[in-house]
Amino acid sequence: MDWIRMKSGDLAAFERLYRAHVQPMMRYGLKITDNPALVQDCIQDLFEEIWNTRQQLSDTPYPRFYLLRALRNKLSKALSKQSFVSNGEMSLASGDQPVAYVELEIVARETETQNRETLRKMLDGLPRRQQEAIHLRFYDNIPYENIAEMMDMNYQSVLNLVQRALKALRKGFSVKAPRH
Amino acid sequence: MHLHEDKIEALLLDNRFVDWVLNPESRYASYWEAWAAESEANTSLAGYARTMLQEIAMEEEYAGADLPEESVNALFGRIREGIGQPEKTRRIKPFRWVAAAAIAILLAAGGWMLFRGEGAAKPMAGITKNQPSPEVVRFNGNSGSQALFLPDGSRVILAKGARVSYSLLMDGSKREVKLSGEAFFDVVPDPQQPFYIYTDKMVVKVLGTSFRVTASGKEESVAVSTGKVSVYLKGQDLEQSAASIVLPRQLCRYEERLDELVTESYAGAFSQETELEKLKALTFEEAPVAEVLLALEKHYAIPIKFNAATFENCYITLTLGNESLEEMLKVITRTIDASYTMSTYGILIEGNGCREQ
Repeated sequence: MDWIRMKSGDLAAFERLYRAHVQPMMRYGLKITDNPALVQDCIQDLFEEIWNTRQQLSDTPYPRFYLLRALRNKLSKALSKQSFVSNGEMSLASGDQPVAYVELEIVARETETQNRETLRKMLDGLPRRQQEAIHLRFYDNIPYENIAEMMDMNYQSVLNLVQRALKALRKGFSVKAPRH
Repeated sequence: MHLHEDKIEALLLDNRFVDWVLNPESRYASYWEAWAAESEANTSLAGYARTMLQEIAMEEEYAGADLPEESVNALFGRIREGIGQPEKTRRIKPFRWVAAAAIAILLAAGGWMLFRGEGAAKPMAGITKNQPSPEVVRFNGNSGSQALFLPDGSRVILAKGARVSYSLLMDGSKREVKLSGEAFFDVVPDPQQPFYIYTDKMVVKVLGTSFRVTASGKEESVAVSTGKVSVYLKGQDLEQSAASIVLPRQLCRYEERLDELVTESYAGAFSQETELEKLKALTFEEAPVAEVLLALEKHYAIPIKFNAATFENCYITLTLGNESLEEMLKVITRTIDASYTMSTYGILIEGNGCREQ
């Protein structure tokens, strides 16, 4: 595997790793900050660090998870330095009761008819941490226990977080589950 | 209260379920396929959960743009420099600058001309094929038979309780369908992409024809209405071994006692052919495009994303069927001056809409 080859100094494997993961990393980074230049800088730092410390790295069967987690750490450090987001806010774990709930309900009721923009609006209206967890689970296919580790929460809190998000999104889907 | 919704959410909170939907090589595939086939309730729950998940994934896919190729290369160039392994070739940066500036000017001028010419350039249809598409399971939980389209335009009438599964876009080198229960197939000919049906015991190879396959545990058989199919025993080497060729008005069945295929003449009727006629009648005349896209979404079982407000004034006349999903999309997007993108999450339609008539 490329990770192991990279560790033994294979530059081509290193490049393959970069190319296989740079787009999801970029997308994920932009869930955490709106600053694409900052995300690119962090990705650059991260890959340079990976190469320079490759001998000390442990093996991982899931480079995607490793890379996203490392990127998050980098971004969170960079952001706290710039004080865009305070550390306290970053680690404000499960207790983020969404302010946007009421508003979402109204939006949903107004557009009960087919409006495909709704789901996007609802996703954008979710609290940031819910958006992040939803993205990691349903786009990057990262298991809940790993999301918990990345976001520094416990497993059950992540499930609660995603469940709240799903409830808020209910009316945004094109399919409506029958209510028995 | 909302019991159904709670159950769907429980599936979405299950790592194994999410993996099955997102990962074409999921090791949980057989588990969930069996689970979905267990009961009508399960099939419908899995269907809802899958659609919701795909809609989220599709939103996430289309909300963020991919980094352009040049930026990906440039960023890697910086990384190489950072680790002291700069690329050896290329020292022509000033030239590149000039070229980029020239292109920028051309684009600006071109943009103005395009604007004056009222959008002469049509957006191109693009297909993103970066990974194999996930599997779709369709189960007929109704009391009667159910007609549906496959992505290649082939039509299937599923008998009550029958189930087919295939990859969302059917974009592999073969068109492959797994079947349990009874179904009638009307397959679009395409020698480049042969059509295979897998049942528990048999493999049916088709080049374009209509026939019925029964695979309901005790009985497995293929009866041909038009054309010709080859039937193999599962586990046979398809390239090496001789197939049983089944012609119109013949039936080939698996004889369990002998563990072999037996071909005999078949005098029965194909009641499903009248069902097919109903599908043909899916015609839209000057219908709002949203209505057509929703029908497409339903019959081809694939999520389609578009901005309803943008295309509010677009109307199409169109007959569904006989045509692959891609052909239909080409016709629709050409008519309403839009473009489409296919990905493993579904289809995105973009454009500027139509003027009020």
